[in-house]
Amino acid sequence: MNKFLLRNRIQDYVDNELSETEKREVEQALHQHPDVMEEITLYQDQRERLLTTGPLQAPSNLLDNILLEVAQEPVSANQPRAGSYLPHILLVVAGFSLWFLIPDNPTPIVDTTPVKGAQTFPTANPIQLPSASPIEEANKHLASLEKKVDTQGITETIETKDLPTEISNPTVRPKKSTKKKQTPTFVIQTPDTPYIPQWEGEQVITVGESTFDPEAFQFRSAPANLLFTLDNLAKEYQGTLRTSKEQIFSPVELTNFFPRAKCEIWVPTEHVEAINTQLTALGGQFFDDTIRQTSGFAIFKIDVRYQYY
Amino acid sequence: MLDEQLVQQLQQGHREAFTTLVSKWQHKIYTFCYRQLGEQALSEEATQDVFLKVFTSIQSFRGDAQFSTWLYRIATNHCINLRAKYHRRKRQHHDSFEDVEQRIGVTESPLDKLETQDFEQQLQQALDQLPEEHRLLLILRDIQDCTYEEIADITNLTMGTIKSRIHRARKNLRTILERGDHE
Repeated sequence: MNKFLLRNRIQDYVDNELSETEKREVEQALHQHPDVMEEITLYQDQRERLLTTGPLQAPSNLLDNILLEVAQEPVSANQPRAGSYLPHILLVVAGFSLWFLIPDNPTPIVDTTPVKGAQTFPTANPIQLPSASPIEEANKHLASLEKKVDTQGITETIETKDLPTEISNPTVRPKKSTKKKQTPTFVIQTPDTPYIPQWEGEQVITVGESTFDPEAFQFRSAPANLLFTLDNLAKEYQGTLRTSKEQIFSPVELTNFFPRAKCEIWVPTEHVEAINTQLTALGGQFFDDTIRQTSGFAIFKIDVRYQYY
Repeated sequence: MLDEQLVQQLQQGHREAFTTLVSKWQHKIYTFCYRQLGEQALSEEATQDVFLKVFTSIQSFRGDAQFSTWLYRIATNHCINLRAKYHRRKRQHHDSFEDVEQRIGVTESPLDKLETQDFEQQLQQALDQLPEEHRLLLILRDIQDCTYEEIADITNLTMGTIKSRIHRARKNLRTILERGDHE
C-alpha cells in the first residue's frame, strides 16, 4: 500500500471502521511509514481525550427545571389541541379571500412559448428560479450573492458567460442581443462548502456526492472530478468536452488539479434537452437563453471553481 | 427500560416516562448544547427547550427512527437556530473556574483536575472556531460517540460526506489546539 492510499485510510483506522484484512494491510504499511503512524497516534489520542473530557454533567437543577416547565403544560399538552388549529383556519380563509379579490391578469410577463430542444424543466429542477425573467432575476440575485461571496472568500460556482438572450430555433444561431451581455452565476454548495448562514433561503444548488468525491476535496482536485463526469456525459451524447478555447480536453487535462476549470460541453442540438436534464440532475440548471448554439452544436459553458478560489 | 417503550408510555399520557427519559438523556443533550453554543446559561436554556419540544411533539414521533436520532435532530436544529441568532454577539461571559469545575463533575487528583479543566476550556474555545458543519459532526462523533450510521440519520448527510468532514474537522481541531490560538 502506498503512502497516498495509506493516508486515505487514517480516519477509518482511527474509527475502527476497517475490516480485519484492511486493518492488517494498513498496519503492515505503517511499518514503512513511521510519520503516518505518528499521525495516527495523534488522532487516536485526540479522539480519546475528547471522549473523556468532552462529556459534561448537566447542572443539578436542570431536571427539576425541565419538569417544572413541563408541569405547567396541561396533561393534554402532548395531544393536538383544537385551539391550535385556529390560526391555520384563519390563514386559509384569508388566502381564499385574497384569491377572489385579486383580478385576473392574462398578460404574461415573458413569452413562454416552448423552444424546441432547449427546454427548462420546472418540475425536475432542484431549484425553482423565478419564471418571469430568469436572467434578470438570476443576475439580481447573483449580484447580491457575489457581494457576499467576495466578502467571505468562499465560492464554488458554475458560471455561464457571453450568452445570447434568446434562441428561437435550435438550428439557427440566435441574433445578438442589443442588451448588455449577462453573466448568470449559480452558487454551488458542494459537500465541502462551509455552512454559510446568509445562503439560507437563497438559490443554492446542492451537488450530491455522486458528482463530487469527498476524498478529492482533500487534495483540492474538485474540478478534476467534475471534468471527468462532464466528459463522460458529453461522450454519451456524441459530444465533446472542450476548453474555453474550443480545444478538446486531453486525458491529462481532465486530471485538472488546479482550483478552477473553464470548460464547454458541445453536443449536437438534438440532444440539448437530454443533456440539460442530466446537467440539472447534477445541479447546474441551464435556461434556453443560456445555451449558445453554433454549426448544429449546442454549447453549455461551465466554470467550475474550488471553494476559496 | 428501552427508550421506545418510554416514548410509548409518554404518548399514552404517563408523565413519569418523561421524567425517566429526561434523567437518562439530560447530560448528553446538555453536553451537546454546550459544545455547540459554548455558554452555560444558554445551553441550560436550550436543553430545557429541547425537552419541552420533545414533550409537546411526542405524538408526532412515529418510531420510524430511533428516539435518540429524533432527539438529536431536535437539539441540532435548535442549536443551529440559536447560534445563528447569537453568532454575532461577542462572547463577553467567560466561565469562572467554579463553573468549569461544576461542569466537569469528575473525581480526579488536583493536578489532573487542573489539566482537565485547562484542556476543557481550550477544547471549547477551539470548537468555537470550527465551521458549523465541522463542529456539529465532530461533537456527534468524538464527544457524543455516535456511530456514523446514527450521524447520517441525524444530519441526513451521506456517509462519504460525513467521513470527509470529520476528517477535516479533526485535522482543524488538532491544528487549532497545537497552534494554541484558541484564546
